[in-house]
Amino acid sequence: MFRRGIGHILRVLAVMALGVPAVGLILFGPRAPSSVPADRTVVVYWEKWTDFEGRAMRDLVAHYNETQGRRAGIYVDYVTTTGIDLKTLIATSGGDPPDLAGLWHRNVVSFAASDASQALDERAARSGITQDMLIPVFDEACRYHGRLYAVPITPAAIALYYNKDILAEFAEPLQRAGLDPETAPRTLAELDAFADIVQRRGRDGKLEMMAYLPASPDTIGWFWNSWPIWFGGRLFDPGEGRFRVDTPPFIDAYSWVQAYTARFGRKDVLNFEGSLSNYSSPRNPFMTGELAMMRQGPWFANTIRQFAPDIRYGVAPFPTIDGRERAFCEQDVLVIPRGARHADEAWAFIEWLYTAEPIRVQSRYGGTGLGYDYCEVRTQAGVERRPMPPLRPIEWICWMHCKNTPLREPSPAFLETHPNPAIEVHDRLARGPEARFVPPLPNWTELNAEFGAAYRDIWMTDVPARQRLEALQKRLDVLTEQAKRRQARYGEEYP
Amino acid sequence: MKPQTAVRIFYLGLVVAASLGFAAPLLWMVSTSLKPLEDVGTSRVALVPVHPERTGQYLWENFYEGRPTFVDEQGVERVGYEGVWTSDNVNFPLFLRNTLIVAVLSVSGMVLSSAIVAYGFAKVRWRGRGVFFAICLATMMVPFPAIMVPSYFLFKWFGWIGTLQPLWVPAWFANAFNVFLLRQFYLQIPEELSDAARIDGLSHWGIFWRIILPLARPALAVVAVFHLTYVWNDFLGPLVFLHHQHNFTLALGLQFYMQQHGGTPWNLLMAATTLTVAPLLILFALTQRFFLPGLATSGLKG
Repeated sequence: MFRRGIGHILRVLAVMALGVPAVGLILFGPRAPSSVPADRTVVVYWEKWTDFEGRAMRDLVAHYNETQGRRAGIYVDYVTTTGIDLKTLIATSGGDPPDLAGLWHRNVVSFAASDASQALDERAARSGITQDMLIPVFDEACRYHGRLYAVPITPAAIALYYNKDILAEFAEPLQRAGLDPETAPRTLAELDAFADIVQRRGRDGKLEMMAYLPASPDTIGWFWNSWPIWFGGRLFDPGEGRFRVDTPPFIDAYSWVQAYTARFGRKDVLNFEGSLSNYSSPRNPFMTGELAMMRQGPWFANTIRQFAPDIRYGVAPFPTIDGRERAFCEQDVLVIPRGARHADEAWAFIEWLYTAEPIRVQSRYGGTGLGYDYCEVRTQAGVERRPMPPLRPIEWICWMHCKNTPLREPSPAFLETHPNPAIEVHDRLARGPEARFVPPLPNWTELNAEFGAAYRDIWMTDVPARQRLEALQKRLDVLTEQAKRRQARYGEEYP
Repeated sequence: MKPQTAVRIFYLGLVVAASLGFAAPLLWMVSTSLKPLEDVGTSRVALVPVHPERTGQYLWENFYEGRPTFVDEQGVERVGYEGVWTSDNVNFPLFLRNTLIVAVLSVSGMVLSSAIVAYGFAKVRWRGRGVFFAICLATMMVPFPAIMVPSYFLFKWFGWIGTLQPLWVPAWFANAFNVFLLRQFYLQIPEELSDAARIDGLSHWGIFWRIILPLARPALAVVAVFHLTYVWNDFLGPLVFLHHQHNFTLALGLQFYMQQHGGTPWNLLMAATTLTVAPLLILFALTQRFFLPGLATSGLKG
């Protein structure tokens, strides 16, 4: 061996240094803990949340297992997984689904239309979880052909976050233009006026800061398909029976988006956009001051607290064409997949979430900078720390995720102690008459992908928005006809 | 300076620049894993933390113990993250163990089965060999998502869903790419060696085991490294077939650090990623001399 040289000996030693611990880990390493009690019915619950969102749900599930679950002989086995919609769909088609799956609102209709989820109306009626209990927009997004296929778990209404310090920097020119630097724009015309003033360019003329960027956060922006809402339109008209993008609110909305880049110089805007970090980065452009305004959900308060706690920010409804308050909503939902082995027990857990008396859950975790065995209450004297208030389980999880409540009548403590100081704005928007979701279409994923490609063209090129949307409509009509034929094969109507 | 030396320096500079370009994401990953979250969130772009003298402390906190609770600069007690190895949010040692089990069983199976199948295609003459080899190669064209659902049905029938078996048992039935790679290598081994062994009374199995396999060690190492890389990084297979975090692998486990609505602890994500890729990088560095000849002689390179 020594004849081969020191290099060889070192390599052998290094391989052993890797190999011995590896073998040790395989033979004596940690085993899967068996925490599932043998005397209870196990409800397998797949959820997409990770880290602090996942920990909160895990704590809530643990509380259930210790209390109501013990009494009812039910044990909820909480499994965090990624790619939840794909995984649930494959497992359901394979006849081996979980008993409960935490999906996104956009999955509700496609799962229901493909018979991958169970209707919950009868169970909900028996448990007293009626339409009156939920905020209408959140209830509506859980229905397909009038039947309930999901229940909301953590909903949200989108609003405008604005950096008060940046607007204050531009106070003088804003005031000269008749704008209030302390208040967010109410109309899109005002937003344009803010955008003309609140901007900074470097010596080389490159954009370094903007008031607002439609394509932010991330490449083409979140909520890009919601623009017609702010122009007074609906994303889907049930009377039409198909997804229309060639109507005035769509054409006006996307023409405005296109004109926005043209005003600042398309190349400059695209360069600026390319230089911004993505949303979940600590260098989120709102945190770094590269953007003074951003469309976001109530969870944004958590992110700001973690990465830029010193920012002085305000929250307002996103500006609309006529100043009326409108909202785009999102929510995570719970569904019971078709073929679930313990559907009744899974429903018992949902029933507990919605109808149990207010509880206190012991939960301490990191990530948000707050421990959450206490809350911060805003009083006239300032911010005061108090123990966490008792909340109904469904509100507790919404509180922990820093989101809206789905309940028509929230506990006063929910709004009073919520970690987002502007939760009232989000709550008001969700309750408004013009709160909307994405269209409830079985083939929405497919249509949305085509729509996204068109939006990218509109944002990045000179092809007029009207022309691109009219061309898109032809393509969408073809896809809609295909979907109608697919539905007809199963004796169902589209949408 | 001689013109030749100048050219050499120029080329060396070019190579170093290109290497740094390739290594930059890796360097950034390691650098971020050695910073506290506060540093990651600032606009300062640097490879070293704001307080480089505390690098040892950050190394300990991010990779091992973390700061479950700490007092911030305003004197407020805060809840922080646990380090990667001890976190109860992500059971890294368990995920590593699962990955190692899958890797060891899968790589052993792949090397052995591909070696046997390739021998059949390279050294045994039989009717229809060419056609079957073409069919074997054609399976490379079928992507995994296309067979995902049928595979799911099959494994469910076997009762393997939710276990590690779907991730390593198929590896014992060879893989077209590795069969092709080994067949090319075997074809370069002179037929006279097999003939001589046959005269000495060896069967096909004896020739394969005593003559061909020892000569094919560099090519087998290539197969092992390629397959190990694939198994170690495989995301879709574990996602579809594993149903509980008790048997998740590292590739799935890394997702636990990403959050739906932002607030990702990038320093911990990078620390976990560093720990995940480190065994592969070290193994590559240690064994490259051994398997590079295999690449050169199996028709994949030069």
